[in-house]
Amino acid sequence: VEESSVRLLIEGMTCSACTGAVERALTEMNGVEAVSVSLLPEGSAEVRFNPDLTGPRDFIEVIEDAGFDARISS
Amino acid sequence: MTNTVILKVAMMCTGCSGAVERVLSKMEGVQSFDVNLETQKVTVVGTVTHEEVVTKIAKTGKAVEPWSD
Repeated sequence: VEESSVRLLIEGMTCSACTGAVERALTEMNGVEAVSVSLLPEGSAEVRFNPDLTGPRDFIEVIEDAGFDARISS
Repeated sequence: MTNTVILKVAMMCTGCSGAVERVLSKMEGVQSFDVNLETQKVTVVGTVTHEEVVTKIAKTGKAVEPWSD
């Protein structure tokens, strides 16, 4: 299975409950293999996924549904 | 038909209440809302149903219950 990974910068997360919510939302997505969300040095998430099933645009939408702003880290 | 929906939402910190506020500010039909971190009370006024608000806030991953006082 071909796999890609992307790093997203997330604004608005300040506690472990926030990171937990984002981690759960991403993990539940079809095609997501692994997720790691961190607060420091800045709010961000590393997502490993199957590009045939999903992609960064879906991640950004799910994170915004969770109430945070996200963009792809250049 | 304008409704007032009142819910109890498990919010731990300002990041969590900020997330609920951001989601509600983008929600269609919402005229005004109040998110109170201390009391965990979220009040939404607008042409939205109870279920719509519960579904929207549940997407933030926070526990949502009807407000019972």
